[in-house]
Amino acid sequence: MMKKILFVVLALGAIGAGVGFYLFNKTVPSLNDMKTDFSLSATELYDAFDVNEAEANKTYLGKIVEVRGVVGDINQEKGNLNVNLESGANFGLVSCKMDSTITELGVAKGEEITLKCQCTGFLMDVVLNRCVIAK
Amino acid sequence: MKKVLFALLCVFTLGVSAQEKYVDRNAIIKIESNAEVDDDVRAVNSQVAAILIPSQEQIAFQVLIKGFEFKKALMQEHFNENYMESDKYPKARFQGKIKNYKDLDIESASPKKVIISGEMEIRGIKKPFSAEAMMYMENGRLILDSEFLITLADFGISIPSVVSDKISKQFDVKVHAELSK
Repeated sequence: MMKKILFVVLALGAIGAGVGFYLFNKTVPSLNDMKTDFSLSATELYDAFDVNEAEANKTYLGKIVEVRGVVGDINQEKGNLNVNLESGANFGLVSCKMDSTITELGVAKGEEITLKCQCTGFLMDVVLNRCVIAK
Repeated sequence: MKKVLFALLCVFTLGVSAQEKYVDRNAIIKIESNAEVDDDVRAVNSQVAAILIPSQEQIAFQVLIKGFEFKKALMQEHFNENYMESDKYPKARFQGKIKNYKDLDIESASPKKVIISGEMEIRGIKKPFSAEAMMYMENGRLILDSEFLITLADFGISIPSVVSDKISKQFDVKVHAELSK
């Protein structure tokens, strides 16, 4: 009887340690497998932040957004692939940093694209990162 | 009255936009804990906004806390939720003056050491802050590199004693910007 209890305790301990180790080492998942919270245009997203940043933060901060827009600029700055979507504003854009696994977009400047990204907030631009191409 | 206001507004905005500025929307900030136990406590943010206004000898940086990317998901979650409270304080800022701006020839390709002094805001707490940086011109871009330490307690960030051997009290911060007109 005692042996059985000991065995169960040890087994549970091992499972716990395993789960802990797995969680601790888990890397940040790709957005491909994650649920989209909001789907909207680059202009709508930019306007939301431009009109009321605090409100927009409450709605979009940290959320997964699918944003469609016209590619204003593609650059390979400092080893990262970045896409700027036009926002309709003079200076501000929707700045999208692509996931490190993506090396090509398949669209050119002036064409439309839909990206699935995480929204990190608003500086000069609405800033999105970990972007993947929406299916 | 409205017309006068409009005219004033035009003059004002024109004045501002005519001011020459250098911008980088993709400046990089790397942060790293230098604790004895190395546990990959490091992150990169490559969507930092940096602006330099030469006529005012001023430079400003803004960074979104949620934009820091860690390798480990749990670490990123703790960083945002427990330590930085990024829902409440989404941004960190620095705004300052280049103290020895007169010595800096902005068009020169040879690196020059500058001292930048101003105000740092992290987690809603503002502190005077100074750091050294190297600046030089390369292919029409003004390159800035700086490295300094941030003491977590200065900004009200406390490390629980359970993990105090894994996370250092000071973080090493590296900044790289390529500013263009």
